[in-house]
Amino acid sequence: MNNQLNTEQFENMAQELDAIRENAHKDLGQKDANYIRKIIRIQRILEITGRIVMVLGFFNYVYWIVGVVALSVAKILDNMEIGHNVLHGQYDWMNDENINSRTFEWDIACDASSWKRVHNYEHHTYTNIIGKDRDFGYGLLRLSSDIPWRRKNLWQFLTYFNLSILFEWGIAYHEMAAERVFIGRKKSNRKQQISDKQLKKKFFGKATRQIFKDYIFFPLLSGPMFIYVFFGNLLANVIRNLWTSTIIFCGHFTENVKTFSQKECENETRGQWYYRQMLGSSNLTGHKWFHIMTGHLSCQIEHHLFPDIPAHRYVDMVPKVKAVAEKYGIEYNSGSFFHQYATVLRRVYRFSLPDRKAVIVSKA
Amino acid sequence: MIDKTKKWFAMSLFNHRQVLGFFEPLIQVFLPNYMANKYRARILKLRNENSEVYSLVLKVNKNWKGFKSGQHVELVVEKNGTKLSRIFSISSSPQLFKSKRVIELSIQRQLKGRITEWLPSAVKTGQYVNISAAIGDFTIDNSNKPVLLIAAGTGITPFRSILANNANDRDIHLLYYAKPEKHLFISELKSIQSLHSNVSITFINSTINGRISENHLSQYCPDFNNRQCYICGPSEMIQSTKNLLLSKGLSNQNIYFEYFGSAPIKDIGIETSGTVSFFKSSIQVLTKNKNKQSLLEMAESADLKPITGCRMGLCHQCVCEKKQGTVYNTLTKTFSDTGKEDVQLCICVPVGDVSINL
Ligand SMILES: Cc1cc2nc3c(=O)[nH]c(=O)nc-3n(C[C@H](O)[C@H](O)[C@H](O)COP(=O)(O)OP(=O)(O)OC[C@H]3O[C@@H](n4cnc5c(N)ncnc54)[C@H](O)[C@@H]3O)c2cc1C
Ligand code: FES
Ligand SMILES: [Zn+2]
Repeated sequence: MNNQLNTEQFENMAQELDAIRENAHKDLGQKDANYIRKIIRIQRILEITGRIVMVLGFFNYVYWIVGVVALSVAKILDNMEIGHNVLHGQYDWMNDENINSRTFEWDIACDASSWKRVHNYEHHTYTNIIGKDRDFGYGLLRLSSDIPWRRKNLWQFLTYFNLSILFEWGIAYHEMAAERVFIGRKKSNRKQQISDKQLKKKFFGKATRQIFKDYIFFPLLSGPMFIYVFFGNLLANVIRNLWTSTIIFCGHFTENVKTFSQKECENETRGQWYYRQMLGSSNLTGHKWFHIMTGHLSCQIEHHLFPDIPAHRYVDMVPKVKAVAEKYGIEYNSGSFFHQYATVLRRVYRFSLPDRKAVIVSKA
Repeated sequence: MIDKTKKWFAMSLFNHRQVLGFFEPLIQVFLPNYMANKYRARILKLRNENSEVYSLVLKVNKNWKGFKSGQHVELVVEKNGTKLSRIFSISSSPQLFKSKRVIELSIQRQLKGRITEWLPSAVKTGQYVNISAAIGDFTIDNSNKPVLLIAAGTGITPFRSILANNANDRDIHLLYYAKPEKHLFISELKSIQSLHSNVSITFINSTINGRISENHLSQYCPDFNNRQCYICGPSEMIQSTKNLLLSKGLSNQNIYFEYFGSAPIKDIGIETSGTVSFFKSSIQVLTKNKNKQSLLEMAESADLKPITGCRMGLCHQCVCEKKQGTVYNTLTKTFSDTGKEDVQLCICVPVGDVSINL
């Protein structure tokens, strides 16, 4: 069990964080509804413009570039500020049929319901618990000395690069990998929520729809511009993949992020859960538009403490959470994008090599 | 097949079940309060009928398909960012709709109600709200059988429409119960009565004369046995009226009724003792074996405020994730699975221990 603080301190800290949450929650209303609708409008305009302008590349390749950029940004907004947050149920209170975690589907290969099970449930509950949080390294990368070194880790830098490029397919396949649908023996400690058959059906259904849209329908629609649109869409998807993967890695795999063992987390109190969420996440600083493009995962710490509070409110919560962290002597991991990303790369590299005795990784 | 293909394309190209759902936020810029799967209606007027009841006069959009007297709509309004829907009978006539595309909803302010109290102060004329297509089968058939309408309180609303529509060609008798001074549309009803010899209306003061009884029936409408009976009002009133008519020899198929609230949960003869755990709020409520309560009532008794709407299983707004345990659905009369699934809180009663993600 985590015991940097004593029971009473954990309890008090939990109350203070609960109060921050409660304050934001009480205040939810029209503002938040208007905000998310505005973002959706911007996303729609970018997507429609992007798809049209790309075709005008027929006249001048600059149009094609503008189109690809617009579509990339549209996809990023759809996945990050809209999709990820709506799927967390942050806007369920609006009771709006189209902005609702029960029905929302996004422009990415990963089926939304699978995402909710793996991300909302497993990752957010068991954040950075080695062996329980499959997002920690995605079963591909060794990012902590708690994981035994294997030879394949030697070239994990390349694996990481491939994972980033193919990120949407990685997370689409994530749950099937966890449930050992195609390869490997079933793990006895997993309570599978839906059958392999359903998993496959969902996966292939969503994959087909996405491939049809970006690589068949819109290219065909643009007639002689088929190849341009095909590759434009491909590029937009790859740009989105690189961006989302990079942001997510900055949220959990920066150098000083802590990992936890299953044992430490048994019978966790709410205070200890909060504590783990804070140490398991790291923030990025930046401009308002940077935050929006990251879906406010730049405030990963706040997101992990309050996953169902509308994300655009995290920025205002940062100083309050920081103050609590300071009061209880808990590290608050925050930095600029370039600084944080450099430490991610360092981490990927460092753990690709077997541990030398001298490297003692601090454990919470 | 075509629907399935359409939906597949909408999901593939737009990730929405309806293509217009994707464009909804854009269309809203031009058409305020546009909703892809609802109709727009403009508030023409808000008319007070008395201190407790007001009528919402709505000009409905061209694509709204019309209604039959006795039907109701779902009214959707946005309150502080939350879309809330409530059910109201259409109290105006189909003729008014046909000539002017206008319908009226006559609404009783509910004590502590979330919408009915708030609405008059919150909306302005000229503003848009949303309504569903007309729904419900509390309508009068095309035969020429005489009918008896029995209304209590706000239960008059569907009958106002039925009377306006059928007064010309039907033998109609209306028994209208209300507290003193609380009868609605009195002059309008009286003028229908005076213009049509085949319509008779009895206004009954329920404080003085009490609730419906054998005496009332034989006194005001002796030929009730030959009529099709329509009952509308609070659920206890419907129950007792129905029982009375049945005991007087009317057959079930000649009795029609419309509940304005949830039907009382009947004794379903299942063991329901156990604990309902509301997971997110970590509150536990013991289920009573006697007065069976729906999950919604139990949640509210514990001060939780789940989203609700119709409270009778129509609108699916109260759908919530059940993490485990079995519930009995009083509407479909089926037992649920034991595992994780969505349930409608308002119509499900727990069977044994249940955990709800609320
Ligand atoms: C088919 C049909 C037709 C109808 N037609 C009409 C009509 O023509 N005219 C009309 O006026 N009504 C009609 N109704 C009833 C109408 O739908 C309800 O009165 C309305 O939905 C109430 O909305 P509200 O938001 O004011 O109340 P709600 O907030 O939905 O509350 C409803 C009731 O529950 C109680 N309640 C709410 N929250 C709590 C809580 N936390 N704890 C305890 N109790 C609580 C309230 O006090 C209130 O009495 C109809 C209903 C149906 C089903
Ligand atoms: S509230 Fe309408 S279905 Fe339960
Ligand atoms: Zn998340």
